[in-house]
Amino acid sequence: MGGFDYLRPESLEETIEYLADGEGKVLAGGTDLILHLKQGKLRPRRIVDISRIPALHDLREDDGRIFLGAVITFAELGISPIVLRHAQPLAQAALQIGSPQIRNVATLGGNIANGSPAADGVVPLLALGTRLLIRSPKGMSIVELSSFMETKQGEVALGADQLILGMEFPKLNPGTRSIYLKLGRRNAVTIARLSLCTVASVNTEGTIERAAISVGAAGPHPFRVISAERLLLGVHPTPEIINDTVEEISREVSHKLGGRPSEPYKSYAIRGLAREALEYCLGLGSDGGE
Amino acid sequence: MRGFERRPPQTKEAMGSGVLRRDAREKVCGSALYVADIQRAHMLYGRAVRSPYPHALIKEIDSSQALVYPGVVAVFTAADIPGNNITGPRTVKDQPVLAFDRVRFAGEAVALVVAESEAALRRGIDRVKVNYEPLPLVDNPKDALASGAPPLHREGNLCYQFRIVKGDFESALREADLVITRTYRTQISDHSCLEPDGTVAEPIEDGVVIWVSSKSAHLDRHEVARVLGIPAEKVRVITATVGGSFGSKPDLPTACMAALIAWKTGRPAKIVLSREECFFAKTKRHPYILTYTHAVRRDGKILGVRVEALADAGAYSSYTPTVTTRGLIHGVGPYSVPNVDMEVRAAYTNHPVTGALRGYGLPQFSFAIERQMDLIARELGLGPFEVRMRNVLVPGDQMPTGQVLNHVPMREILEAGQCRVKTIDEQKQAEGRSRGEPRFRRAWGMATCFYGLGRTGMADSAEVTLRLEGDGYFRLLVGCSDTGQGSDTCLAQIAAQGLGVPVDLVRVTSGDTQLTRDTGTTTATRVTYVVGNAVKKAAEELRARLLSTAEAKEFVPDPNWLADLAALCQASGMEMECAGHFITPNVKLNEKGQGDPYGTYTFGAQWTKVCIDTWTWRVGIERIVSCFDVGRVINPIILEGQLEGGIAMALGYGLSEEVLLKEGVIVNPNFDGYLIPTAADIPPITQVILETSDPSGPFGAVGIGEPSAVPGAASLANAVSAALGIEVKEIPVTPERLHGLVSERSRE
Repeated sequence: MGGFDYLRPESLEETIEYLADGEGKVLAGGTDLILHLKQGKLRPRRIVDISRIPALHDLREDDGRIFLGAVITFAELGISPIVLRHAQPLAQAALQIGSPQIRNVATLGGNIANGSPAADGVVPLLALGTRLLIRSPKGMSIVELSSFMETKQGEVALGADQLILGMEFPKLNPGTRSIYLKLGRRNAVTIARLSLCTVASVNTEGTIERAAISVGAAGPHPFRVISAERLLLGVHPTPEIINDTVEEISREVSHKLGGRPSEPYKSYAIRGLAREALEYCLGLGSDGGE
Repeated sequence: MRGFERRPPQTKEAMGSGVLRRDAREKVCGSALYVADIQRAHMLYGRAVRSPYPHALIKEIDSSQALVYPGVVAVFTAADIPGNNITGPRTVKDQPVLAFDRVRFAGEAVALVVAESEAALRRGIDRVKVNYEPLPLVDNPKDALASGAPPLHREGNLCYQFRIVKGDFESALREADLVITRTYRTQISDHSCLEPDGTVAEPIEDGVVIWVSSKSAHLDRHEVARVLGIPAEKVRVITATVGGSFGSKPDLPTACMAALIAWKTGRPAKIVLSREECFFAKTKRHPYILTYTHAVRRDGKILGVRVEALADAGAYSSYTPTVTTRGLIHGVGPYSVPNVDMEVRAAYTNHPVTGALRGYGLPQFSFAIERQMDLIARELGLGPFEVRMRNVLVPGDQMPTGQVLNHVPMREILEAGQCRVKTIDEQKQAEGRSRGEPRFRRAWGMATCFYGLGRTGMADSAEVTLRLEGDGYFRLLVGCSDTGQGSDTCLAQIAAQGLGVPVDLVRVTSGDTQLTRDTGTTTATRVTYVVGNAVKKAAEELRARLLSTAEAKEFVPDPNWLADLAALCQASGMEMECAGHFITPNVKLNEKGQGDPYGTYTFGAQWTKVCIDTWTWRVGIERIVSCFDVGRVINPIILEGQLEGGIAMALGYGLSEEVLLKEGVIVNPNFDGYLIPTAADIPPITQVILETSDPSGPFGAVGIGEPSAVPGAASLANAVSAALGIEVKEIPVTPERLHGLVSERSRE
C-alpha cells in the first residue's frame, strides 16, 4: 500500500472539495478499496472517507419512493423495515453478501461504484428501476442506474470528482411480487456465480402489468433483460409464456457471455433461476419445486 | 500397597471421559499465543521475494535499491546461507531454502528481505530486482515423463516409483466374469489451515531459539541447524499454539529463513506468511491420474486388481515417496483381493510442491476404488452394500502386501452404518417427504476406508517421559506437538489411566526440543497409537515403581497421598521419572511390495446423501452417517470434533476445493476463489462409534485423525453418480463439471 493522505470530511461540500482535483478516492466501507490498495491496483494521493457524513446515512420512504443513502451498510439494509416491506429483493440480496463482518461495513453505494459484474446489490436495484443521485463540483445530477454501467468491466460512469449520494426507486405496491436468487459455489460467504431478480405484478384482469428482470454475474455488468420483460407485459401468465421468457433470458445470457468457458453452464443454470423466480412472482408453481 | 487400594474412589476412569481440552480456555478467551502474536524486543521482520515464474533461470538478483530504503536491514540470498541450503522432511533432501540457480515453481523464494517494520519490508520487497530467464514449463506429470521433457532435477523427472505385486493378476483376468477399467482424476488441494505458517527466531549465546507453528519440532531443529551450519543442540524449537496443521507446517524454508535472520543479524526476527504465500509456498495434496482394472467373478467376488497411478510431485520431492507408497499399500481398499499388480509413479513438474495432507494420499485412491465398487455393484445388480460385504477384509485375511490382519471390524462397521441409514430412510418415509421430485434428485453414496497407523516405510518409534513432581502432580513430556487436534489432552488421559489417577493430576509439556525427547512428528495418525503406547508404558512402569516405594516405606495413606509420596521420594532421592518407549512391529516391504507396513489399522465407512438441483447442478449435502471403529474412545468430545472436521474437509475436497493453475501459476490463492465448506454447507453428522478394542492400541484405542478424512469425497462421488445415473470420474464435482457430464450423456 502506497502513502496517501487520509481525510474524513463531515459535510458534502467539504467532500466535493477534496475530490475536485480528481486525485482523491472515496472510501465508503472499504471492503473492496482496501484490497485494491494493498494489491497496488490503485495508488491514490488522497483517501476521502465518507462514512461519517450524516446525509449519506439517510434511509427513508417519501411519497411512494424509497431513498437510500450511499453509505448504508448491507447489515442495515437487511433489517430495515422500509426495505423489507417495499424493496424485498434488496433485503434478500443484502443478507446474502459475504459474511456478517463484511455486511457490517460494506455499503450499497460502494457496491455500485466498484463496478463488479457480480455485485449483489446492483441486481435488485436494476429491477426496482433505480436512479442514482450524483453530486459533482458542477452540482447535482440524476442518472439511471442502467446507463451508469454502460462501460467496460470494473468501471462505472463516475468521474473522479463525483460522488454517489444515494439511490431512489419507487416502492413496490402491495400486490407486486419480487425475489432475488443467487447461485453461489457454496451456501454462505460466496461470490455470485449467477444472480437474478424479478419483480412482477398482475392486474385485476389477470394480465401482467409490471415485469422487471435483471441478471448479474453474466457479462461485464448486471443488466436488465428488456426483451424478456416485453414477452410478459400485457399477457396472461401461463406456463408457456414462462417457458418463452426463460428461454429468452438464457439467450441473452449466452449472448452476453459470448464464447467464454462459463457460457454453456451459465446459459443452462440461468434457466433454473429464471423459472423459479418467474413461477414465484407470477404465482405459477410447477411440479419441480418442493 | 494398601495406600493405593484405599485411595478415594475415582468416580470416572480417565479413558472415555469428555474432559475439557487443555487449550480450551485460552483459545476461547483469545489468550492463546500463536506465532503472529509473539513479540520480542528489537524484532525484525522478514519476507521472501518469490518467483512469478514457474520455471526460470535466475540471472541476477539486484538488491541495491532495496538496501538503500530506510528501514530495510538486509537482503539475503542463497550465498548468505552459512550451512546447507538444501532442506526437506525426509533423509533425501532437495528443496533450497533460497533458490540459487533456477526456480522450479511459481512462488519459490529467491531472496529474503529483512526490515525494521512490516511497512519497510513491503517497500524492500518491491525494490529487489530479479532478472529471470524463463524456461519451458513442465505442466503435467505425463509430459514430464515423456522423452525430451526438460529435466527438472539431475536424476530426471521420475521422482519415485513403487510396485506391489501379489498372486497372478493375469490369471484373475482370465477367470473373471466381469472386467471394469476406468481412469480417474483428482485435483490439487490445499490444507487451508486458518492460521498461516510463521516462525519467530531469537539468537541465544551460540545458537537460536525458534517459536514455530509446527507439527515436527525435532525435525525442524535438525533442518534449521543444517542450514545454519551449527550442531542441532544449539537450536531450540518451541512449538507455539498451532492453528491447524493437517499434514503441513512448518513450511521448512520459512522456518529456516527466520532462523537465518536471527543468526546473521543477532536480532529476533518474525516471518508470518500471508494467505497468498500459504497458497504459493506451501506443499499441496498430490493430484493423480488413476487407472483401475477390477477382475470380478459373477457372485461379486473381486479376483484381482490392477492399478496404474501417476502422481504430480510438483517441483521437489518433499513427502512424495511415502505419500505415494502409502496410497498404493491401501490401493485396493479394505477388501480382500488375492491377485494384485499395482504401480505408482510420481513425476516432477513445475507445479507447487505436493506433500503431506490429511489422508496422506489415500483420499485419491479411495475415490477411484469406491467408484469401481459401485460400478461392480451396478453391473452385477448387487447393490453397493452387498458388493462391499462380499469383499471386505475379515480377520485372517491378507493385505496386498501379504500382511495378515487379525483385528478387522469391517463387517460390523458396514452393518452398523447401513442400519442407521435404513432408520433415517424409514423416518423420512414416515414423514412422507420422499415423493418423486423431478427437479431435485437425491441418493445415498457409501465408501469404506482403512488407514495404517504410523509412518510409512519404516518401523515407527516414540519416546516419552513421565515423572512425579514435588507437588504431587505428574508431568508428561512429549516431543510431538498438539496441532489443535487435542493430543495433549488425550495423552494426559492415557497417562492418567495407566497411573490410575485423576486426569487433572497429569500436566503435559509438548513440542519443545529442550524439554522433551524426540517423540516423532504429529503426523501419520501415529500419536494415539505409537505415542499413546509409549505413554501407557511409562505410566504403568511409574505406577509400579510408586507402588513398590509405597510398600517399602510402609507409607501411610491420606487424601494427599501423592503429594506426600512425592515429597518422600524427593527427600530420599528416589527416582520418580520413567521413560516410555514403543516401536511398531513392521516388516519392511521387499521389492515386490511384500511385508507388514503398519502395526495396526483404523477402519471405517461413510454414507453421504446428496440432493442435487437439476436446474443448476448445485450439489447439496443432506445427510451424513459416519461409522468408525476407534478401538476405545479416549475423549468422546474431542473424537466427535475430529470426526466432524475430517468429514467436512473430505466433502470440501469432493465438492468444491481445487487449486487452479494457469501456465503453472496458482490463479485462486485466497479463500474467495479456493472454496472450503462453511458451516452452512455441512449438515448434522450422525456418528456411529464402535469400540472393538484393538489389542495393539493403548487400552485398545486407535487413531482417527486422517481416516476421518478419507471416505468422504468417494462417498459423495458415489452419491452424485447414483442420483443422476452418471459416472463421476473426476473431482471436485462442481456444477460446471456435472453440467458437462449430463450434457455428454444426453448427446450419447
